Amino acid sequence: MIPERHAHAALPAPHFAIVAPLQWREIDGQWVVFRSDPPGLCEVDAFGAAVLNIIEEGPGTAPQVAGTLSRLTECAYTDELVQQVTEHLRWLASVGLVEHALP
Amino acid sequence: MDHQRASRRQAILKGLGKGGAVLAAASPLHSYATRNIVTTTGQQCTVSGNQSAAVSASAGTQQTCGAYHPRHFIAVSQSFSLTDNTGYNANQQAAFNALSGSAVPVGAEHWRADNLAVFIKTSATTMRRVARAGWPGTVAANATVVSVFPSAGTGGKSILAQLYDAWTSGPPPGETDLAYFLAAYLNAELGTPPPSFTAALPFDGPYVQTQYNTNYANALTFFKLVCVTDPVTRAFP
Repeated sequence: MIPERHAHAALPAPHFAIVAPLQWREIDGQWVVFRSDPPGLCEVDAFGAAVLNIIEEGPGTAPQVAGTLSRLTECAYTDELVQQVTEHLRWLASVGLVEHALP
Repeated sequence: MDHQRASRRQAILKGLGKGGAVLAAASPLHSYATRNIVTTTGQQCTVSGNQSAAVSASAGTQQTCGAYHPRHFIAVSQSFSLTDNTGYNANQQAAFNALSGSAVPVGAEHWRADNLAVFIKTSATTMRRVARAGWPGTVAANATVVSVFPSAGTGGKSILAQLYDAWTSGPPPGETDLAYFLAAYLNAELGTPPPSFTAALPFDGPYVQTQYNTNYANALTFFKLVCVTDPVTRAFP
């Protein structure tokens, strides 16, 4: 039997894509994102907004999003950054703003 | 990437900072938890959310959305006589000339020369001036109802006249279904909440137009729930 953590390590990073077209509005420095279909609303912080904004431009994996984020913000591409992006993508998926997509 | 998206990305990244600030902004993990925006009754501030159970987030993490009542968007004058024009100014005189006489039906509109207010014949012998109040800059004062909701079947009637009609066709005053859709449209285009609320309607005018055409009943229920500020209940002077 393959230990669970090894099984995870063998899996390719999942692709994420937005669920539906998004509308954005900035309210008092916070980003409010409205999903058109089905209608839904969330307020996200700056990091979450950046991750979502990158996914909105096209589906991608956490490492890909982290790479784009690293380039745009001039921060180092590290495992920690990928982990942060991964956690944010999972959370964005849990609230229905992004979903797993085919590569 | 189009200009709007590029500007948004720039604004997002500006808020994120550069270099190490990126990770600092993301830590600790729970800091990025979003806040649900809810109605005053605790339901999601969307058409579909209104049909769902109340959200469970604690009050401290919520914003409350709200919008103006249909009555908020019109400013109505006193009643002017259509039989005695003593003391009328030029605008009132022009309206008197256009609307007096039995051949002109009740409900007829006469727009002031600057197109910022309309005189409406309210009876065989009276008229009132109706102007916009607190409108978004994107909607002209003399916009017609069908320019927003083409299937409304209201001919050339202006939004101002329609909202005035709604007021007179209660009870409750100002609360016809069409008036609520118009108010939702104006609120959505306005994009700012009434002072007593922390969040505006999270969508724009075209969304309201789509709801009118494809999701009328559910949207109407939702708009009646949130378009509640300034529901003036007294009669016009």
